[in-house]
Amino acid sequence: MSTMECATSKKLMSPFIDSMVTADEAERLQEHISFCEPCHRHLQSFISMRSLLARIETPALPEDMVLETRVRLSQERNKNVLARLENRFNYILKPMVVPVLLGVSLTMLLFGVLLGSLNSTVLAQDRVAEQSVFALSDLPLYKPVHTTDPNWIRFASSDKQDVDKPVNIETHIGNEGRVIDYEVLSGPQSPEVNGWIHEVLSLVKFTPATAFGKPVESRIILSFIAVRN
Amino acid sequence: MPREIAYNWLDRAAGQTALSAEEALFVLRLQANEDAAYDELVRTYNASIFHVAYRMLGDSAESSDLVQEIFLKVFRNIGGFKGEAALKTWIFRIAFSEILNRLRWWKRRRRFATVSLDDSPNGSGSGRSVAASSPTPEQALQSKEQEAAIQQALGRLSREHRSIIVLRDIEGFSYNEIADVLGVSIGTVKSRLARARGDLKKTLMRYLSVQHLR
Repeated sequence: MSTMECATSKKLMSPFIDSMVTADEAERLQEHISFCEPCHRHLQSFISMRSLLARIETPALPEDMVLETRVRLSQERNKNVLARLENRFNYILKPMVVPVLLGVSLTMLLFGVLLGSLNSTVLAQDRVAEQSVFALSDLPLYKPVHTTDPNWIRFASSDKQDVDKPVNIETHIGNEGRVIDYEVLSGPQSPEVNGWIHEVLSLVKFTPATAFGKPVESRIILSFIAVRN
Repeated sequence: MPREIAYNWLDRAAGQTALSAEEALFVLRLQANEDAAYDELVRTYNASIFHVAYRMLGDSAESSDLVQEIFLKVFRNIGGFKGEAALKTWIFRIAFSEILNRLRWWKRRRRFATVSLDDSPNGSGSGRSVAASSPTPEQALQSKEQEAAIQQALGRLSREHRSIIVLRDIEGFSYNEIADVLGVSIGTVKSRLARARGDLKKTLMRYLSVQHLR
């Protein structure tokens, strides 16, 4: 181990008191100061000064400093409303965008499928309604009252009565297809004609109207035009 | 966008960032502008920043004002913080930049910080005392005198030397932290600290106890 010179020794003193020298440097320095009075005093003064500085009293914080700092920070942070909104968007809304879009898409898809199936049912019902002579209702889920009874049609047209002018009758049909009530809206009025109407309507049995597949009461207008023997 | 920046550095491998997971989450909260995080930030750092500012400037009111400026600057720049240094050293880098700017501003206006024995930063004596028990009046007077002498001695050092003494011998920063805060190498920290201590020792000699070799 070589003997250390005072200049080298003094260079090492500052890192030495911070334990920032190698073990070898520390050993050589300690050996040097064990016989070198000036270097010993130098190191002692360094250690004493560090101790003095470490013991220095901590200055008391000004009373309102923390409060004022918080207030100024708060004012600064709220100064830029747009930036604040953008931050909110980034941290709260942005993570929700994908799930929300996915949810909306799935809901729309579900509704699309459901509406598609309903639409096909409606179209089928519309076709039935168009085929019916007695169609009074445009409601797609309703089936109108009608009859295709050939015997009744033959009877109505082969009666002895001569009716020159058209007869319009509003007829109330029960859910079993029988006429519950009727009212002559226009046409010739006579006991014969009334008797003929009463007889014809008491004989007829309609296929009742349906709503959602169930027979319901309904009203139809029957027109008899130029009924002759 | 603060969040994207935060994700970028948070997603790095552990060895590439100087932050612990806890500190990284704290920074994320700051970048998200969370009230509680800023309260915690002020609570954690306001005293140490004030102490450093006071030792550098020697003026309590100026130091208090500067602390507020430093926190505002931290808030304005936290979005750009990428975790390349510990949060503490990043904050003190900002603090020292502000402190040195203030000192330059003073110099341009020929203002010099003066500390008198009556201008104790402790005011009514509410500051933390080193002695565990109440000091005697003689001890209190001696302590006050030493405090003033140290502050005056610090004021006579160059800004570079004062910075390094305050960081190492008063605030207890490590060499690595000092290098990060002042933006110099460890070698520079060592040599600058040795020179600063040598200068300061000359001024404070009468307060130092030196035992002779026999």
